[in-house]
Amino acid sequence: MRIESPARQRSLISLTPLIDVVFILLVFFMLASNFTQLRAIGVTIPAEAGAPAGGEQTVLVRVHADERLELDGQSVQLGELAERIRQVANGQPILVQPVGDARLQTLVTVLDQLAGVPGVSLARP
Amino acid sequence: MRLPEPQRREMGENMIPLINVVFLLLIFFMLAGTLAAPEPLQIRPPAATSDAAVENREWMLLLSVDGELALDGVVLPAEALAAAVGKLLQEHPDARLKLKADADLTAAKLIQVMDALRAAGAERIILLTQKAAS
Repeated sequence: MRIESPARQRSLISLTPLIDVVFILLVFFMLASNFTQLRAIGVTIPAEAGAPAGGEQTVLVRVHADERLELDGQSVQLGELAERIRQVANGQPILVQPVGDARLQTLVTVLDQLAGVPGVSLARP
Repeated sequence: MRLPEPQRREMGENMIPLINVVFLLLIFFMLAGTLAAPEPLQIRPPAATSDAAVENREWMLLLSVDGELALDGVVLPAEALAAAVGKLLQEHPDARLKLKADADLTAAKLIQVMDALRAAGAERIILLTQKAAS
C-alpha cells in the first residue's frame, strides 16, 4: 500500500493571529506595568502639640518654605548641614522642624542629607 | 523607461523580524515592570537618594497634594482615617504604615495627618520616596 505523502505546506502556520495576540499582550503590559521604584525613609511622628519639648538640649534644624535652612538660628547651606551637625551634636536628639509652607520635597531633601546621623526626628511647626 | 515590477514577496517572510522585535518588547515589559493595581490618587512622591527598598505595597496610606487620603486603595474622608488606621493596627500590631505623600504637599498638612496617625497609635511610619532622577 502506498500512502500519499502529505502536501508540503508552503508557509508556516498563519502568523496573523499570533501577532494579534502578542500585540495585545504587549499593549497590556505597557499600560499596566509600573516603573517607579519606591524607596523608604523611616520617620518618627512628632509628639503631641501640648507635650513639652523636654529639658534636654536638642539641635534644631528649621526648614523654611524658600528652602533656606537654619541650624540653631544660624543660616546654613544644605551641603554642609550634615558636617555642621556632626560638629555641634554629641548625642542630643536632632529635630527637623518645617516652617510655614515648607514643601515635603524640601523636608525630604534635608532628611536625606541627615541619613547617616543618629537621633533625627521631625518636630511640629 | 519601464521599471521592472518589484517581485511580490511572501507575506510571512516580512513579518518574522517584526514578530521578533515585538516579542522582545513584550519580554522587556513583563520583566522590567511590576504589575500593580492602579492607585486611586495621583501622587508624585518626593525624590531622595535613600536606597532602602520597599518590600511590599501593604498598609500604604496615600496622601495627595489636596489632602485627599486613601488607605490600601480605598479613598477615605479625613475623619475616618484614625478609625481605619486604629482597626488596622489592632489586627496587625506590628504593621508599619507606609505614607506615600506628594512632593508638593505642605508640611502643615503632613503634620495634620501624622497627628491623626499618632492618635490611632502609630509611632513610626515609613515615608516613601522615589529615586532622584539625576
